[in-house]
Amino acid sequence: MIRLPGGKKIFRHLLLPALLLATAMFAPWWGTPVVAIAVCLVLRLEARWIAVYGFVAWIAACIIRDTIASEGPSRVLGRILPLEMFGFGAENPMNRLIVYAIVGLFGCLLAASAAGLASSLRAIVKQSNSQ
Amino acid sequence: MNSKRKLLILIQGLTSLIVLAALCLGLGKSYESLSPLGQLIAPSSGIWRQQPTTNVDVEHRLKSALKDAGLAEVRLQFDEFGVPHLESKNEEALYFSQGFVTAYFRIWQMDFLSRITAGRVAELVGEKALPVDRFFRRLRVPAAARASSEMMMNDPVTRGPISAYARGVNARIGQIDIASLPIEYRLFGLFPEPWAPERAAYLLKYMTWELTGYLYDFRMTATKSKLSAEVFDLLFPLSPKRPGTIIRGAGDSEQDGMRKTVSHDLFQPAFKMAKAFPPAGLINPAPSNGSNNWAIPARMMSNGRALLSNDLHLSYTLPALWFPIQMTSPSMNVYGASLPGAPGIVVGFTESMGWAVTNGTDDVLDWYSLRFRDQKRQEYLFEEDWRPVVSTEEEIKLPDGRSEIVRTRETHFGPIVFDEGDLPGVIEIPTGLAMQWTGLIPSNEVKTFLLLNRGTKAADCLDALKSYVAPGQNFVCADRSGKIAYKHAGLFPDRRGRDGRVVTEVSHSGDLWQGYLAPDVNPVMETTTEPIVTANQPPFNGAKLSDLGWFFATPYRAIQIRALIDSKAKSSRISPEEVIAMQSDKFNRSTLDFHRMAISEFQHPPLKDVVNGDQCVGRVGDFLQTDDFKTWNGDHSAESLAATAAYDWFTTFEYQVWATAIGEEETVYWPNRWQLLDMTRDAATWQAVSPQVTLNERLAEALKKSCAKLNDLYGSVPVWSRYQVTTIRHSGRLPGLGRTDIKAGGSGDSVFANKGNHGPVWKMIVSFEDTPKAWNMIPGGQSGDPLSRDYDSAIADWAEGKMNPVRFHKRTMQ
Repeated sequence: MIRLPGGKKIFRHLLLPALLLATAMFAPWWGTPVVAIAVCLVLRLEARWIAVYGFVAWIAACIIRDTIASEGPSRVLGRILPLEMFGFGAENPMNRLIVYAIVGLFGCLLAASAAGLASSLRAIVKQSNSQ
Repeated sequence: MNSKRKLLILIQGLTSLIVLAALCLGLGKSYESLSPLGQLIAPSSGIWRQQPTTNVDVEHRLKSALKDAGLAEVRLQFDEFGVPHLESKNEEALYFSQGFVTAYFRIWQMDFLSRITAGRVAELVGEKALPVDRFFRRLRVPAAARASSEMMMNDPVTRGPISAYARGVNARIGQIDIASLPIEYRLFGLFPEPWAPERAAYLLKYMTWELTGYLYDFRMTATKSKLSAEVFDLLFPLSPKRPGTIIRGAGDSEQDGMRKTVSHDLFQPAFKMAKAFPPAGLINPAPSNGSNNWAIPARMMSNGRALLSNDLHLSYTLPALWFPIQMTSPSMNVYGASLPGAPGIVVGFTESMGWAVTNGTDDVLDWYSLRFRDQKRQEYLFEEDWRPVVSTEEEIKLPDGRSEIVRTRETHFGPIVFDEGDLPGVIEIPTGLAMQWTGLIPSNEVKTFLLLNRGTKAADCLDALKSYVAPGQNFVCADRSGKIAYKHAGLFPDRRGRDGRVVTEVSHSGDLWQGYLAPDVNPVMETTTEPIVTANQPPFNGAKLSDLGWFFATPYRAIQIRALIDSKAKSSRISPEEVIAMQSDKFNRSTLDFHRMAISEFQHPPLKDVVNGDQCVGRVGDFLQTDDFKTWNGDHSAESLAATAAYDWFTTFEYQVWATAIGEEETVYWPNRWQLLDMTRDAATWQAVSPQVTLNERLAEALKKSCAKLNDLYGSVPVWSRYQVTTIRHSGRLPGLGRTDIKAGGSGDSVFANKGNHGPVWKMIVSFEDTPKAWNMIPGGQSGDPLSRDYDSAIADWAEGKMNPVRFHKRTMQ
C-alpha cells in the first residue's frame, strides 16, 4: 500500500470531496447533511473542511450537469433568480458563476450546519466520557 | 474554563441545529403548488438534471416511436431556423409525427392551454386558478368542446388526423422520463397525463374565446345609463361610416343580404342552458386581439405573382403561441403555423395556394338578465311561465388532493354564468346573467383547416370555409394563377335589429337570437384585381353592419397598409422583399393625426406659451419646443423621443375627455380613437360632449399634465421603447421564463402593432412563384423548452422587423 505524505489526513481529504460530489450528483438534497454527519463522526474531519468540500462538491456537480445539458439549467436558473435586473443577462458568463455560487452556498450551508451539529455532539459525548 | 468550553460547544451545536432545521424546512417545503425548493436546485434531481430538447434527439426518438407504433417511415428534417419538415407516403404516420414532434417541443404549452377552457388549470397550478376554472365551467365550454370533439371524430375528414395526432402525442408522453420532463412539470411536481383527442376541441374553443369572448356588453350597459340618449348616439353610432372598409367601394353603399336567416335547428347549442366574478387574467381576452392580412394582385408585383401577407396580433407568450412546420404527403404539401395540440396547419400555404386570417371582430356574445321566481333561483320567467333552471355539479381537483365543487346552471337558451351578486352594481338580486355565444355551438374548425391544407387554388380556400363557425375571421386567399379572394367567414347571430351591445332583460323568445345569418351571404369577394386589405376593420359600411358587430378596429392600420401599397405601386411594381419592410412599418396615423391637430390648435397662442406658461418646465418642456417634436412624422421607432411625447399627450387628452364625459371607472366603455379624433373635427359634437371645456383648453391641460408626468417618471422624454416596454411572459406566467429586455418599436395603430405585451405573434409573407417563395417570423423560438437556445432565439430579429426565409421543401415521395 502506498502511504501518501500526511497519511490518513490526505486520504480523508480525497475521500470526503469524492463522497460529497457523488452525493450531490446522485442523492436527494438531504443526502449532503446526512453524509456530512457521518463523515464528521467517522472520519473526525473538522466542520470547516466539510463546509468547504460541501461548497465545492455542489458547484462541481452543477458544472458537470450543466455541461451535459448544454448550459441550459444555469441559464434558466439565472433567469428565475432575476440576475438580469443586476446587469447579468442570461448569456453573461457572470450570470452562470453567480448561479453556481448560490447553489454551492446551499451545499456549503447544508454540509457545515450538519457537520457543526455532529462535531458538537461528538465533543459533548467526549467530555462526558472524560468526566 | 471547562464550563466556558461547554457553553461554546453548546452554542455551536444549537446554532448548527437551528441553521440545519431552517434549511431542511426551507428546502423541503412546497410553496403554493410548486415543488419543494430543495428538489429544484439540488444537482441530483432538479433543474440541473434536465436534458434540453434537441433536433438530433427528436429524430432518433420519432424513429423509435414510429417503429413501436408499426407506422410507415417519415422523413424529418430541420432547417437552420429549427423548423421541422415532415414527409411521408402515409398520412396516418404524418399526423402521428406532427403530434409527436409538437409534443416533444411543446407538451407543457399544449397541455396548459387546452386546460383553460376545460376548467382544469387549478389541477396544475393550484387554487389561484380556481376563478378561471369556475368561469369556464359555468360558461359550459367543456360541454361544447366535447360535442365539437364528437363532431370531429364522426367526420371522415378529421377523424383520422385527430386520432393519429393524439397517438403521436401519447407516444412522446410515454417516452418522457426524469431527464426529459419539461421544467414546468418539474416546478409543479407533476407529470403530463395521456392526451385525449378532445383536447384539440378545447384548444380551438380557447382560441374562439380569445377572439370573441369580450365582456363589453356590461360596460356598454353602464355607459348607456350614464349618458343622455343624444350623446350616446353621437359617441356610439350603431353603424358608423368609416373609411378603409375591407370591401373597397362599399364605403358608400350598404351591403344587402345579411338578413337571410337560418333557423336555430341547423346550429343547435350543445346544451340548453354560473360565484366569484374573476375580473382579469386569463378570462378577459386582450382588447387588441386582431391582425393584418393583405393580398396584392399579380399585376402590381415585380415578379408578376400574387402575394399574401399576414401578421397575427395576440398576447406575447413564451413558448411562442404558434409552431411552424411543413407537412408533405403524396396528396398534400403545406407549410405554416400550427396550433400546438391540433393537427394540420392553421395559417399557411401549399405549393400553389395560401390563406391568411384576421379576427372578424364580430359581436357573437350577448348577455341577458333573468328574473327568478324567488331567492332559490331554481325557476326563471320566460313566456309568462316559470321555467326550471337545470343544475349540475362538477368537481375541480387541486394538486394537494383537495377539491372544490362548482355548480353549473343552465336556462333553455344558454348558461347562467354570473349569479348572486357576482357583479355588484350592475345587476340586482333576484336577477342572474345568462348568455348566448356562438362559441358554444358544436363545430369542426379542424375540418376547415385540413381542407385548406389540401387547397390548390383560391376557390378551394373559399369552399373550405363553408362549414366554418367560430371565431369569425377575415380569410384572404391567393394562388399561383394570380387570383386573390376574401371571405368574412363564420356564423353570426340574427338579432332582428335588437341592440346587441347592452345587457337585455329576457322574458320572451323575441328577446333572444332568432337564428343565425346564413353563412352563404357573408361578405365575400370571389376575385378582384385590386389589393385586399383587412386589419379588423368593418367589411363594409351601412345599417346592416350592426348585424355583424360594433367594436371593429379603427381604420388606421388598414389605411396605412393601403397607402404603403399604393405608394410603392405608383413608383414601380412591388417586390416581395419590400413587403417585409411594410410589415415592420412603425408609422402611427392616429397619433400623428392628433399631433397635427393639436399643434395647429396652438398657433394662437403659440405652443411655447402653453409650455412656458405653467408647470411644464425642465427637459420635457424644452423638448416640446423643439422642431423634432413639432415636425414629428408619426414614426414609432424604438429610439423616437417625439413618439413618446406625442403619444403621451394623446393618451392624457383621451383620458381627460372620456373621464369627464363618461367616467373613469373600469366598468364603462370609451369610444375608440377614430371617434375621438372625429369629434375634435366637429364643433357641434365637441360642444355636446364637452360643454364646459373647449378643445383648446382640454389640449393645453392634457399637455401640461403629460409634461408633468414625464418629468416625474423619467426626468426627461424617454425613448419610445423605454416608455412602451416590450415584454413576453411565460404562458403559465412563471417568473423568469419570460423575457423583459426587448427593445422594440411599433404601436397599436402601426402596421407593426406592438403594444408592449401584445402584437405580431406570427408573421408570414408568401409570393406564389412556381415554388412558393416565403418568409416568416415568431417572437420566440421553435422550442418550448426554456433550457434550449431555440426557446427565445428569434426575439431580437423579430423586434428588429426581420423575417426568416422559409425553406419550402418540394415533394420527394410520390
